Amino acid sequence: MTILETTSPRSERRASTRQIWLLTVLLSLLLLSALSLRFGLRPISWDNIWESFVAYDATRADHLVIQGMRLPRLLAAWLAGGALAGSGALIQSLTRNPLADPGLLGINGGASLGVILCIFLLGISDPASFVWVAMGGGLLSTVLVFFLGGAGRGTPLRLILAGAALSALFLALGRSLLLISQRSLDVYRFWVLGGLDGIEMPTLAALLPFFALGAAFAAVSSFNLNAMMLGEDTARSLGLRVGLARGLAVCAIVCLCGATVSMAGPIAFVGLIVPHMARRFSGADMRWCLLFSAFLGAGLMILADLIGRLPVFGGNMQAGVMAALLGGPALVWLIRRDGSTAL
Amino acid sequence: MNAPARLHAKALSVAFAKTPILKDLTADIPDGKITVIVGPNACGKSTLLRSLARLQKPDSGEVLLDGKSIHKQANRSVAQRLAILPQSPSAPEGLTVQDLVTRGRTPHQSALRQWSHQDAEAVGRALELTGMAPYANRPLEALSGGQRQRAWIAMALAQDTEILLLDEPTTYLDLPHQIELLSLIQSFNQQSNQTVAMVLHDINLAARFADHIIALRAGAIFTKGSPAEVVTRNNMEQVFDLRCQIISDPVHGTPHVIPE
Ligand SMILES: Nc1ncnc2c1ncn2[C@@H]1O[C@H](COP(=O)(O)OP(=O)(O)OP(=O)(O)O)[C@@H](O)[C@H]1O
Ligand SMILES: [Mg+2]
Repeated sequence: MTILETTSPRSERRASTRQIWLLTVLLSLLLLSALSLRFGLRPISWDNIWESFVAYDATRADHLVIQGMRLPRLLAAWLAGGALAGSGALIQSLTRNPLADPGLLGINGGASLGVILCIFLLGISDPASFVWVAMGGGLLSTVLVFFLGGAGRGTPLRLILAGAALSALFLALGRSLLLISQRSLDVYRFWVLGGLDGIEMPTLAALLPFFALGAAFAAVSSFNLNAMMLGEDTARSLGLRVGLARGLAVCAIVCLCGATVSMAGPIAFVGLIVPHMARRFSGADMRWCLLFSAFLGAGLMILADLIGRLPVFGGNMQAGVMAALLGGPALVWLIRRDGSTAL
Repeated sequence: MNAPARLHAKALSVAFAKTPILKDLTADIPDGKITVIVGPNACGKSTLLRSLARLQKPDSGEVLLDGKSIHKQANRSVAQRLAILPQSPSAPEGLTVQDLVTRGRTPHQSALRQWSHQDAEAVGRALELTGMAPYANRPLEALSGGQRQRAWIAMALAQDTEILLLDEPTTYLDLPHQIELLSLIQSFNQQSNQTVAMVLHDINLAARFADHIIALRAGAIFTKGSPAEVVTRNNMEQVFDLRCQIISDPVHGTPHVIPE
């Protein structure tokens, strides 16, 4: 069969360019990581950074700063950025909605309510103890959303609506508690801005299994979603168990976002915008989209954290806020440049 | 009828919001033949095809694939034997032809074993046969309606199944491309003995390419049989409310409808 072709192809994508881009993104990520160890309120020389890894000396301030503060922070930024952006890519593809955000499943709303209840009822104000409360709240509310949304049988729209309704409910409940208690507000305000301050290695180690599990679920889901994005009928006729695939993707999102929100508070926007950037490199293949999202998300978080730590901002601009400040305009620029691509 | 066909609808009833669409319908899709389902708009052709492909759960009755209820078999194993192209499939923006056709290999892959030599071969062959190889790297939205249709058919071919169901595969195609596509499907059927069941609107093309025609009317089989048996003046009037003359196609000798 032949069909005469008069116009030239609009955009052709080759696999090799995709690999080159991935390599570029990875290299930039490594560079950013190195910079984020070096700079902060005060720069630390490369020699000292290197020594702190190979010959750690607890009596030297520089070593303490690197190993005790900047390295955990860097790792947290990697995990948070990668997890948020990766689950953003998953939820957008799962719901076939380019404006979906992983927070839509109710994870952030549930986690916030959990933390507020914990401050309000138990009077706890140590951020380290919020980890499990936030995790529990996030998990619980996602399970609720999933079943309200029709479990494996509901439509994507129903899932989103259930998530939006429950999130709004949890946020409203939380806010009304905060109105009553000034002290809760003070503690909560810091948590909710989303930051990587004071995250320590033991917290990271405790959350690592969730990130790992989430990453494994996400990898399997990326294969499933490649079929799901052709519509439910086509996915089913390609042999997919649609309900199971949907459940698996939700599990991936819960693990990744639950761990992130309990570590760094609810960070909005990264999960919404980074997948759009990733799609310009990856095309419609979910496996590539997930890889690019994770790496770009990590890069954005590291960059946001690095800039937020510079002396100009007094050294403590929250990374979540800075990520939105950087990512928003970047996305607007992308959209203006060549129109948005959907899923 | 001798041995039962591999794909068989048994006393199928489907209703949407209490309105019956298929009524106690029993039909065989003969093995290794081309079956064409015809009937007026909204008579239930797509619903029948979707039921045969387990995309529509019947309210009563069942579809048997290889003697077992299709809903009781592992979905993946069904997908290795039966492919369907739904009436208006949709794809996300930015999906290339190559991506799409590759998705056809899903039932032969798993999350752990995603790409094999056979996959590459089947995708290449499907692209070649449908003439879509030159457009492999083109996003679907940058194709004409007819090219897009062929890209979807290439996906169904890449699935490499013994049974292929197609819902109006010739929409968007001009007449030469309709003939080309149906000849292509016919050649699959003849070379690899693939069983084909498809919905077609053009009764003359149906008469020319079908071995077996099922004429639906209001959710029930009005009549079925060879083109010569089904495409008669009386049947056309009853099924389509169409007054016509039937002549013999001077080239192929199949019945040809001339509306009055
Ligand atoms: N999901 C659905 N919900 C409700 N009604 C439906 C649904 N799918 C089909 N119908 C109805 O069932 C009837 C048969 O639809 P079907 O798609 O099977 O017709 P068809 O013979 O394929 O028509 P066409 O030639 O226009 O494609 C129509 O009246 C349609 O409105
Ligand atoms: Mg139809």
